[in-house]
Amino acid sequence: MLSQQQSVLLKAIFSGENLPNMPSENKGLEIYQRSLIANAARALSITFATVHSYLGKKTFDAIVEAYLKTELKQEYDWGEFGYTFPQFIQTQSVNNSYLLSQIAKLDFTCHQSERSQNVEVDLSTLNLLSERDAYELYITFCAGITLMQSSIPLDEVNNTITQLTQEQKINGLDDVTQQLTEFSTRYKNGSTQNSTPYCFVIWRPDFQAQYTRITTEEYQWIHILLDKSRKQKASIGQALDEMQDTEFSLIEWLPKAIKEQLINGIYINSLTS
Amino acid sequence: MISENLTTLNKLPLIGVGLRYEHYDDALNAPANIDFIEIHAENFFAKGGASYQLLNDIKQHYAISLHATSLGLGSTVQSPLKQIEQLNTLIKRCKPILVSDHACFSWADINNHNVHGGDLLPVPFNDESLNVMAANVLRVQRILGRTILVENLSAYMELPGSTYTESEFLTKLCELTECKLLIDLNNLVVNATNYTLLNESHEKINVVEYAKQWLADIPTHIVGEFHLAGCTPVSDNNLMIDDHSKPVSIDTWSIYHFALTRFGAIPTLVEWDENLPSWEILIAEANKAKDIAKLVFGDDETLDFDNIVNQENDIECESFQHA
Repeated sequence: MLSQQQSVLLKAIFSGENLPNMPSENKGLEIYQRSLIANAARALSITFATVHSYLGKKTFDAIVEAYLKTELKQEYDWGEFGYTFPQFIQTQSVNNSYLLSQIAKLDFTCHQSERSQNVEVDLSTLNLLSERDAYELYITFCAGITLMQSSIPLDEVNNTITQLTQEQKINGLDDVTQQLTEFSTRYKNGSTQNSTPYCFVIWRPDFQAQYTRITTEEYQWIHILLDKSRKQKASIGQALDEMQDTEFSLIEWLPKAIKEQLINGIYINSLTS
Repeated sequence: MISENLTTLNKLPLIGVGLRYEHYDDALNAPANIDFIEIHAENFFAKGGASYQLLNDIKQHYAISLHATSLGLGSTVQSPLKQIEQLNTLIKRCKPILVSDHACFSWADINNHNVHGGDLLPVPFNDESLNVMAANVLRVQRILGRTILVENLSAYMELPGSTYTESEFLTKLCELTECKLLIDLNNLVVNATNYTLLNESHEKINVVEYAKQWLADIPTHIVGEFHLAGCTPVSDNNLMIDDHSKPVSIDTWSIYHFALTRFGAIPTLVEWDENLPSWEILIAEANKAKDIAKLVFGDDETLDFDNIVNQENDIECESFQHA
């Protein structure tokens, strides 16, 4: 009885419909329905801050309201809510929905990166690179490191809009939409002439997530080192072996990775040392 | 266990404020003379990053009360073990003087999925609800290794099937689980105000008298904390929404005076979540609570209830919202 009562009420709150057989409670139900939308819109506007700024509050909130009707919230922490929101945006009849869904994916990844576990920094361990065999050594990456691919150069889109806004060449949401439309047209909703996806690395050197475009080889290199599906993590030596037919150069990548705080140190796996 | 001896050296109640994002810098850069701050547990569930560091900084300056909002202790669907373990991890990190959540449900099964409503939803006050909530409270307390406080709700609907009053229900919950009550005095005001408005068949009631009677029905030994806040009537039908967007109302201060007289020096928190004032105004609200406590427990004959509660906050709250 209680279980059913709770299911019926929660279903009504998410669906926005009235409670069956309880017309006297609909005034109160409306408060919970409005509260859900307001809470979800607030939480998702933080997680998907870029998308929120491109769409504006009114359109963003309308999408959130529609999202809640199709996506039941299974997370107890609002900070974790919205994993499927990028795909949902793509199904919506808003301008540039594909491009916005890609930006939403990047937003979500950055947000998750910012919530990820801290990783200790010990750059003195870099000395191990000259002291030990590369097959014994492993890279400690920065907190929140994640890889992402997209058919759109998302960094270029965001940087362009930021720059034009700073220069006051675009003012307001209509200008942003027009700019996004130019990018959407250029990249034809993902079916670009460039069949190679754009690769990005997302990481959190301090508290704010960063992302940058990387080469396919760099993507492949980091992917090998982060790959959790392997029985054992790849050592630097093993990863270099797998990269030998590519143009990847550890000598070139390493100083850049240190400078950008992409790596926090090197460690020796006790099982192999 | 709930920390013992939660009073000041002068035998006054500990008085704290709820810490919200907009006040983080002020709270750290201009630490206030308050006894504790309350944080919402879920805002600090992240494994690392800014909020993680912030908590490290906050606990250097303040005693912490940890207030959870998502366990849904009245849910027939159990909250996931991971959720309680996350709370436990947080407790180990910040060693709170108090840990609390609400007498509500949040989890339910929809189409074979465990769904979380993201809100504090009411339960009917009957034996079935009581057994569900007691089992959940006991489970949480067992995992956390301590008793918790359970807060009364502001509820906007009355689910059918109640056989107890709210105060009877909560008293029985405390008896069954040894948890303590966190009484949100503003929630009593909200519920009393909305009583008639939500259901036209109900007769209008006197808000302060309702709250005092509610409190009189609660045994003194089960109360562990008070919450104070302001609320806003919504325009169309004057329903009162518990949005914590205003200073504490005079009615609520009056009920607080009564509550201290009845229950003793119980830790008290001033909450303000929307339309936030400056940090200084929030602390001034906490100081009003302190003055009322002095009025009840002290011997300062210069204090006067009307003077305390009618002190104007000099600056309009709204102007600070985006400062």
